[in-house]
Amino acid sequence: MLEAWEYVINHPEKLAGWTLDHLQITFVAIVIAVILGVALGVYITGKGKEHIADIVLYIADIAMTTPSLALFGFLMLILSSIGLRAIGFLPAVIALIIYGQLPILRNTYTAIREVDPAMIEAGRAMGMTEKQVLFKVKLPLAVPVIMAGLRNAIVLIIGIAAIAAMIGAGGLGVPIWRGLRNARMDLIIVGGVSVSILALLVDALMSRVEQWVTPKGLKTR
Amino acid sequence: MIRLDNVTKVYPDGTEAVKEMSFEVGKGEFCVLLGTSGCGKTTTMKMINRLISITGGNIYIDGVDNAKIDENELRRSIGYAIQEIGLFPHMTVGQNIETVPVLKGWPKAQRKERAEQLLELVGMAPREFIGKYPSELSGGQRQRVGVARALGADPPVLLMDEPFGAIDPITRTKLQDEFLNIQQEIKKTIIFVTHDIFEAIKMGDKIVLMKDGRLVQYDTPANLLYKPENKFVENFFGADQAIKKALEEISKRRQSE
Ligand SMILES: Nc1ncnc2c1ncn2[C@@H]1O[C@H](COP(=O)(O)OP(=O)(O)OP(=O)(O)O)[C@@H](O)[C@H]1O
Ligand SMILES: [Mg+2]
Repeated sequence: MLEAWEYVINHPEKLAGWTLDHLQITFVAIVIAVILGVALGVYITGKGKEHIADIVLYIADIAMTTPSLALFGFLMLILSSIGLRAIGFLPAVIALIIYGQLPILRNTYTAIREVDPAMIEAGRAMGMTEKQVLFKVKLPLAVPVIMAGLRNAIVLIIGIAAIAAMIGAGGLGVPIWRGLRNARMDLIIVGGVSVSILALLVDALMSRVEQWVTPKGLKTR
Repeated sequence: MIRLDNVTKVYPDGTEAVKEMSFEVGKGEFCVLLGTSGCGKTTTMKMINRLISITGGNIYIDGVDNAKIDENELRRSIGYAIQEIGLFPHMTVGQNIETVPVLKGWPKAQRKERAEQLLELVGMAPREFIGKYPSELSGGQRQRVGVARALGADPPVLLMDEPFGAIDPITRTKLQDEFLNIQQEIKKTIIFVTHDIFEAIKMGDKIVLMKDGRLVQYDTPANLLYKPENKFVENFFGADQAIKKALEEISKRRQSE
């Protein structure tokens, strides 16, 4: 523990570099995962899409339970077979996006499906089109549950990104792997603790965002 | 003016909820749909703004078949008020009232003015309530906002499904009185659903008495009480002498007004 602290004191620039790399990978992955997950989650709530919804959620389930090393390996294979860079940033970001999908998809889907039918009917009765019902009624009412899914996904992505170092994507996984290979406990602790702190900080930030995007009338006072 | 012509509704599961209903509600008239639970009142009402599709017959609004009007246009021109559950919890009182005006593209200043005017109308101080959320209101206040929202874009027709349903008897009486006063002023064509005999007699210019999806008698409250067309009507209003007495009181009071 003490050695880990000494390492941080002596090499702050290294820790800063890994943290920045980590933030960069996770930030890109999170932004894309959120857009994709919410859009797809909304899409599969549409009329007559029950089958597609089942399939999509099933695939997301499988993807999330796939061990991350296997998923990375699998992605490397696919990417190299279509002639793209099989190591580094790209496969890492893709894998993280896939991992983030399940909580985002499932929460978006469930939240929208579970909006009180009376609310939806009230919207229709006022003369809202399907699209207006979605944007003015369903989505605002679904925000709290969707946000819970996002926060889950974000913590998950930050944690799993540590494994991405294995395929040369950098980040806070680098000291962890180096420590494992060289039996350097201090490096493992530096990496591990930093990932946890990062996840906690980002989650705290997200709880602010949640406050900000949740419609006022839905907040419990 | 609203006219139902041989209107029938058979639900996909085979339930015949409404059978060959025909009646006409004149402009500015207050028409109550009355009957026991499950007799098809809500179904009848929702076919007017096409929330429920019709399976037989026609409904005409000012002589135009409602099936020929764009459904969203149709609904924006018909006010709709239901039990308090109908208010959007994520919108303020003002935003709730402005829902239809927003959909119709009214300019902001006009919408705000309208919302304030309507809050005045239903007896709620605009300054105090316009920015509040439904969760911050009492049941009675929510019902008032529900009525104000239904009047949002000044529609000529109002559909109301037990709008004063989930509320204590005292507040309920008060809301009924207030609404009758409002109607004196705004003179809308109203279809009002209730299963409360007293409410029906008190509020309606005319009452459609329904049984098992059919119209039994369509008449003024006085005629239903004094000239029932058959035993069912007679029993419905007069089975209990005490009820009949009370109803006659209400009916007399109305006529003397
Ligand atoms: N979506 C539906 N599918 C099948 N049957 C339905 C459906 N909605 C209503 N019904 C049936 O149609 C009949 C009339 O229902 P409706 O809701 O119009 O009654 P109501 O007079 O409004 O009753 P209440 O006073 O309880 O509100 C009932 O037998 C009901 O069970
Ligand atoms: Mg009903």
